[in-house]
Amino acid sequence: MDLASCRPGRPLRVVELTADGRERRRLTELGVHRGAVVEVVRRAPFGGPIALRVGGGLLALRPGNARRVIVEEHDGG
Amino acid sequence: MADVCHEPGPSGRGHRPEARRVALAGNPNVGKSSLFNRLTGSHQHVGNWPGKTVERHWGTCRAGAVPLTLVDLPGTYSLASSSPEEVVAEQVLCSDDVDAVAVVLDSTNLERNLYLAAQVAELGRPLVLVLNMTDVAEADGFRIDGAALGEAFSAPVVRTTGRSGAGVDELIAVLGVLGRTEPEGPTVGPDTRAPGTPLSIDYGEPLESEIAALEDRLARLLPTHHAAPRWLAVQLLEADPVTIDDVMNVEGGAAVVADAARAAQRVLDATGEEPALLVADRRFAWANGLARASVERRTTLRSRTERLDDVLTNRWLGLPIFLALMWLVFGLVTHVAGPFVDWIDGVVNGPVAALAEAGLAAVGLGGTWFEALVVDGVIGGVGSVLVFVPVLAVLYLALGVLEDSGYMARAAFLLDRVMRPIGLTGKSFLPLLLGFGCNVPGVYATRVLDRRRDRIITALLVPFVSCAARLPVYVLLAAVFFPGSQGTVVFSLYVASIVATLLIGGLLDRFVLRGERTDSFILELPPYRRPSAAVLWAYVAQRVRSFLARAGTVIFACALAVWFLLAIPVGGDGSFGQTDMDDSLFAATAEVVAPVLAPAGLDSWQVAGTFVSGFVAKEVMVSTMEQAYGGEATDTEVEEEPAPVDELVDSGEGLLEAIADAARAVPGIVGLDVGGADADEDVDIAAAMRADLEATSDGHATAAAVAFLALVLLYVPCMATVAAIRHELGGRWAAISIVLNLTVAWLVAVALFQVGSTVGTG
Ligand SMILES: Nc1nc2c(ncn2[C@@H]2O[C@H](COP(=O)(O)OP(=O)(O)O)[C@@H](O)[C@H]2O)c(=O)[nH]1
Ligand SMILES: [Mg+2]
Repeated sequence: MDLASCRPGRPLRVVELTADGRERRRLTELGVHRGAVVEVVRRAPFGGPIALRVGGGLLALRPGNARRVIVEEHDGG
Repeated sequence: MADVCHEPGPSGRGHRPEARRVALAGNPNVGKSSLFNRLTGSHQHVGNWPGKTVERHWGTCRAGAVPLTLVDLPGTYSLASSSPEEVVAEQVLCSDDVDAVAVVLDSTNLERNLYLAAQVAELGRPLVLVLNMTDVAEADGFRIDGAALGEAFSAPVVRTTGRSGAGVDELIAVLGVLGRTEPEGPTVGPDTRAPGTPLSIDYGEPLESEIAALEDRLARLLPTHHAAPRWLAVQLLEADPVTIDDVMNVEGGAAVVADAARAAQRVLDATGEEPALLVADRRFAWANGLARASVERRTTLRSRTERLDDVLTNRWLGLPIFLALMWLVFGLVTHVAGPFVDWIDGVVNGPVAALAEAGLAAVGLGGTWFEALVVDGVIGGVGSVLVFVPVLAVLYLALGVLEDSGYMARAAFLLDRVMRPIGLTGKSFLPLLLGFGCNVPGVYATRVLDRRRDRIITALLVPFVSCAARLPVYVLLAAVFFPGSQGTVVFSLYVASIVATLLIGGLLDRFVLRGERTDSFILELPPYRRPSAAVLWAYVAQRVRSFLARAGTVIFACALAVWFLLAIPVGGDGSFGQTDMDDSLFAATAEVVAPVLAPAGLDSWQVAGTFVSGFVAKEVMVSTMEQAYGGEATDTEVEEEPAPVDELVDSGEGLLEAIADAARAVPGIVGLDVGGADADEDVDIAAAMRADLEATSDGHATAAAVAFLALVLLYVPCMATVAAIRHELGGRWAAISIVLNLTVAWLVAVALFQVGSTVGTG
């Protein structure tokens, strides 16, 4: 599943980034890389950005960006 | 951009040999500028918002006897050169201008921070790890094993708190000896790594064999390059533009670059992945492993940031809270700054002018054109610059609090959706909103945008936002031409302003700056922090100073130019400095401009003159109209003036009153009062205006009045706004802004009049 369709509050593991070029690089540098554990914290109203917990920080990204991040449920640790 | 206190300039090559030059590198928003200011006593822009430092800044300090030259780099997440900040950072780190690097890390987010630190260590310049935000890390229950980090990087580790300055002395001591080859320097920390043994991360096959092959050739090709050959090889495989440039510049470099491109292709063929991504994955794995091994978090308490976010970015409460905060900022700017504006205006045009008059009279120049030049031209011009100071100071204070607390990023998060259709991001909302108060701070607020394209579009849009100064003109025109429905007229104009802003935004986005469009919005939401008074003070002082120096001069020059136009008689029996408005060069100039307005049914010098003076400040449009249609002389006789000294005393009391008024205004802010424009206009003026428009429009005065209103809403930004755009984006964009507004205003006004005069009854 992709990150844009995930409900808040569950730990997720990044499986794959389908974004490319600059966007993929930016996501990676900000900690959204293959294998990273992330969590959707909330969504802005009216289809606005998604707040994502990554490592020790928070990241806002548009649903368009989030659609290009493929994740799976992550259980434990 | 910003001024630096000590500025030795970037080419420190000719310096005394013992000067150590150290670059501060790190992710955005980790406290680099705070530390830089602590170290050098400068006032670089600090704020809780990624992307504030866009240029490099230099400063100096001393480590005992050793002079240090520091450079504050823009924050970057990597050295991949995919943004201008990264290019600057990489170029400086590879240049002769620095001897060593201090990598500043946010102790509460080490995993991501170590990714950049790894790159800097691979680059191979002498290095110190600065664990900043120690105070927050301790409060949040982080425990960081500094020795493990130091060992992994073979570098000294220093813990600091940029806010309080804790640990800065130790940092200075380390910087004084960092990367010294002379053995007699005191050893601090476990720095046993001689310069030239950079960090090496295992990138696995097939990358490693390609790296090895390139590395040898690069070592021979660029023996004096400051970066390690292995790092250069990795950068070439990643197709890093700065490294490619460096290598292309030496003889035989082109062949190596071409071979690297072929090697990258082989890696892609073999693995199905770009080398850049393979490298990033491995490097992140390394940073992760190190973070896991060296960081322990004892508490799992929800942080203050999370609890605040539950309210401030709540799905239902977020937007109402944002609007309430904006209302507050608006109120502060209009109600708190207002009394000070009046006071400055009063002092400059009262006692200061009176003193100047008295002084000139004493030397026999009283009543001459020279007196008028000094009093109305120069002193008035200074006044028109100074009145902006309280507005800007209050605005910057409010912006500073929003920014330094971390709220600004939340506002961008909440409003991104609104800006998406016109190709902007949530960050552009704030400047536009501020524009409703005054366009000048709106333009300055575009600084918080991180892409130049967004800054340009937003700054060009700000003048279409109806600032408060246009309101009295709407009220006056509505009272004259649409008596009884002023409210509807004013409301329609505000709606028109929003519609125009969105439409023009869409056009600029699709047709003018289309090439650089991106649909992506990825923003770090920093933790909430209590704003620091010292930071706020520096922020406000620096910006006001810079406004006075750059925009102030332009405003002053324009005010003076209009004064000359008004002073020079071209008819009648007035003399220089003492002429009726309709006999002045001003009226003559307006007469020349007026025919342009004929298709909008407004071919009269009075209307054109109103627009000319409105360029100086929209505030003066109403008084120009009154003078032009009332026919009074511009140079109103000086009334019985009280002795200047008395007036100075009065103005002292005036200041107290202004402060009291400002204090009283604070509770009343929520009931924003837009009134103040007197609707009881002189009947004669109204009649004169109506007669004038009847004449210029062939009996379609109502249609002409609508066109007039549209022009007031849309035509050129005032000179202060133009000066601000020039200050922010350069003269070219300021000119484009003027042309854009004039064109749009003219087309809309003509269309309205043509349609209105054929369809309407007039
Ligand atoms: N609590 C705390 N805040 C800090 C510290 N250092 C910097 N800050 C704050 O962090 C934010 C970012 O600082 P700044 O120096 O602009 O970071 P830069 O982007 O790396 O230059 C500002 O709000 C600073 O006041 C620190 O050690 N502790
Ligand atoms: Mg900075």
